[in-house]
Amino acid sequence: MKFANIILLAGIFAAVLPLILHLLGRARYTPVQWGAMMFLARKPQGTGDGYRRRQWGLLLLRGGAIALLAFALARPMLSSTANTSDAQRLAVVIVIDASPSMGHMEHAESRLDLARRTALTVLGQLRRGDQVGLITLGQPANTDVPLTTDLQDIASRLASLKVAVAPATISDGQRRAAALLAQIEEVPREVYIISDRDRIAWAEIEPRGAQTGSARTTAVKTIAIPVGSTANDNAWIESITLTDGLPVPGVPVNIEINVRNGSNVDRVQMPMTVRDADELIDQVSIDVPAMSTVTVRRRVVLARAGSHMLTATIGPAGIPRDDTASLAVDVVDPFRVLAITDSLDADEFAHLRLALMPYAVSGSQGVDIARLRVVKIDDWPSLDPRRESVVILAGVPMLLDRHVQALENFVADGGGLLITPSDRTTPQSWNASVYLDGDGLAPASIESFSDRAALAMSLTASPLAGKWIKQPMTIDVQKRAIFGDAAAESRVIDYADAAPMVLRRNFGQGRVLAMSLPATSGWSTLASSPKYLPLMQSMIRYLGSARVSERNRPTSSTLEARFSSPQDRSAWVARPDGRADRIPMTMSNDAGLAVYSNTDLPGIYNIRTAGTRGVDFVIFGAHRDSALELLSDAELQSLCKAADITLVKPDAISARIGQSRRGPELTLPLVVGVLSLLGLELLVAHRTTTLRQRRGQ
Amino acid sequence: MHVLGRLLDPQLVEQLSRLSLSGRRVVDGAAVGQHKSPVKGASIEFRQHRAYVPGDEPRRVDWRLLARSDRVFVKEYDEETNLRATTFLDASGSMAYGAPARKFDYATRLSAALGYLMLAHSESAGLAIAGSDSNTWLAPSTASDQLTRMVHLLERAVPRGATVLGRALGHIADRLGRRSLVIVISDCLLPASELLNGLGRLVHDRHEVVLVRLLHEDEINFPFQSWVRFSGTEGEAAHMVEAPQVRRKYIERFERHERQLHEGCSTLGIETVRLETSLPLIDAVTAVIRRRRG
Repeated sequence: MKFANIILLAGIFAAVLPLILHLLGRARYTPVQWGAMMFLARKPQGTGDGYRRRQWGLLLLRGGAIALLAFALARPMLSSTANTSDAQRLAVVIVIDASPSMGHMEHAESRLDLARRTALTVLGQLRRGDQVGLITLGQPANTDVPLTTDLQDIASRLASLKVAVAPATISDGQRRAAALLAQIEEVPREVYIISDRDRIAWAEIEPRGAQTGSARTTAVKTIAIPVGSTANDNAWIESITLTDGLPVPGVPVNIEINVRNGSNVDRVQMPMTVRDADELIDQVSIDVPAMSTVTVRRRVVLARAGSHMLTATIGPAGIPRDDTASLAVDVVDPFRVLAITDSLDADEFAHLRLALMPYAVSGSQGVDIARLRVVKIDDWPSLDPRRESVVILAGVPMLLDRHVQALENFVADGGGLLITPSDRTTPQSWNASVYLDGDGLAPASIESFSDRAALAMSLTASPLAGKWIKQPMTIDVQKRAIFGDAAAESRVIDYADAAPMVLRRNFGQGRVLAMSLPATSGWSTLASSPKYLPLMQSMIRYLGSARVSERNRPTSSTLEARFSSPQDRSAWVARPDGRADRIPMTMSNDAGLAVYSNTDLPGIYNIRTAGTRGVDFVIFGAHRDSALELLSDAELQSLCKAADITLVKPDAISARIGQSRRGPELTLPLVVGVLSLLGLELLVAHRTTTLRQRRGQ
Repeated sequence: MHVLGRLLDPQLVEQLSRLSLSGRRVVDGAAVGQHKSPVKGASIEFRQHRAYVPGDEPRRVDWRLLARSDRVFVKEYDEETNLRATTFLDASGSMAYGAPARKFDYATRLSAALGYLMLAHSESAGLAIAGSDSNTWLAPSTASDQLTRMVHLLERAVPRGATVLGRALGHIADRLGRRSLVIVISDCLLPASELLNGLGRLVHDRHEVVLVRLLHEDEINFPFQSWVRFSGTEGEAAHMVEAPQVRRKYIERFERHERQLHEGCSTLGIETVRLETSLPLIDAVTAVIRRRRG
């Protein structure tokens, strides 16, 4: 038998206290010279043998109760095994949850800090010769520290532990712990799971009997130590998006940031900043009511062309990990737009010029998104996507084969093409030049041209996403092209009568839009409507960004990065969890293509090769832990009971480990024994008093 | 009166001056006083006739009756006489209990007060002090220095030794001779039968007896707490007891003893007065006087 507090065993000597008090009471008597001795019985009934026996019994009961209490306070434990040396050793695996929810701040320290302290407490209870392993949930299994007797090493690893970005499950920890303990059989083995109450983490816990592997068969004891409160006070950024397509330097661009408050408390005047890399470009205070999402629209200006990484940050608001969200933005130089026409009217492109170059046309100070150049079809230029971003084929006459070939090459190489009809366009010329029974550039044939009609148009697809177009607008249409059958996915804008107004098509690396109205004035009031400018600008942004790959992708997307003349035939992927994966590159001519698809974690991925800065990608997706759905005490108890896991509070770790080392603790039965003795003492004392009264003593 | 001042304060003396004694029974007396004498003789109040015996004074012969009936009778008269009172003080060791004033101190003052009261009313006052070693006896007298002698005796008396009250009462009865009022002041801490025997002797000799039982309140209530070592004042073995545990039994025995005493005295026609030392002395004197007046 061992004692957890053996020093308290000295209290057993206090058992003689009642006897001492009794003797002291006798010793401190009052002497009285007394005359009425005749009324004092020479041998009082109360001091008879029975009385004395009861009194001695009471003394024994009182002394016994005190001795038993001292014994209980010394916390005796039964040895769990006959082998003393084995009983003094333990094999312990500490499973510490480092998932994002553990970053939740509570009173100036994170839950991970609490968990770290708890783990160190567990570590502090171990002795020389004990073996301990460490599993960090949120980090992959290959980071597990196998059983070692170097407790200091484990302590150092705990000290450097940081909140991971990957979610964690307790069941994963159980399996990994079982694997670590599988080779140990001779000593008591325990798994200490230190985690918060995140419902997601505990959701997949394995019920009793379902656990497999040697950990179960060799009766490994699993102890869970929950840390942190049940507060679900967290707000996070759900998304950050660009609403206007590719921006150009100096031109304000709209971004939308969705902020979610998942707690039951309103958040008022919560600071939010937007940074371009390290440069603060916007800041604002926002109010987010409890359990709701707020969309914050901001207008920012990016001064230089190239790759940008915008990062929105709120708070701090609960879990730091989801307080930020990033958006990869490519800022391009103003689009070079080439309009090819067979018109002789010099003013035909006045509206289009105004829409694409409002500052230049008006002579105002500002940056236009595009530079428009108009050439006649007779002066057919050589087309190169690296020079012109977009070609507008304004009114399609019968094109020569070389023109068609040049346009197809241009689009296939990543250029953008807008095809619009004109008075000189016939269905035959359209279909023969750009449709070619579906093999041409146009997404649809033209069947006819309709009569005057007042029609509304509305956006039906997203490539031209812009808040201006989300609301239907009405224009007066005098004439329009009636497209033939078009696939649903090719529809961009429809009229109110469901006829397509704008269709799209991908051709090679480029994009094609076909509009049923001229891009210039004529046929309708479109060019004079207030939506003409944003519509045309959006179409130009869409068409001109075909060569720019989308760097904001949902989780599990495949990322592709092209490098010209790479020095190495492999690339490195820096993941948001800090890991770096090396991937091979596919070489084509002088260019290398790196493809990476292990994008299950939201965050920033950087693909780079030697001598380059690399390409940043943003993988967006919901943070699993953000909602912070926490288990109540009752739920956690029920869960642990079902899974045969012992739930222990942090302040009871010492006792738990002592119990493991030495066997079950006897404190509780002993306390029950003390109470029983006290009850018996009361009974005897009451009976003695009753007898005395009955005998007239 | 300065001698009395050593035992009684002036205020008490003044209060005593307003009290008087009156005999419930007829007592013998050597001086003419306000009490009827049981001695039949030539006095002013005719009592009875009796047959003449040789030796009777011729002047007591009722000549008229002789003339009418030719038989010789003598007249007998009740004689007015003074009160002969003797205070009997118990000086056993048990009377030494009490603090700051002992029972014996209280008893001496009570004896002095009674003596003063009797002498002030031209009665004969005597004193008997019964100790374990010796008995002190001062015969009743109306002499002017009687009170001084009483006070001297009382001052010299020391309570000690075992109670020999029964035997001492017998000795007093032998000395009293004529019938008297005997006021016995004692704590009566001796077996009731022993005390009643002594008192019975006095009653048998036709003395009027008033038993004044003087106790300290501790002896009545037994208020001790915790452990107490009782040492007997009359030589009994010491007794260590946990006082609260024996209190009930003590009181029961005390009351039984008192009941025996009271019943015995009633049978003997003895008036009893129980006094506590906490009682003001004038009230104690009054209680004794009132009891005697019946």
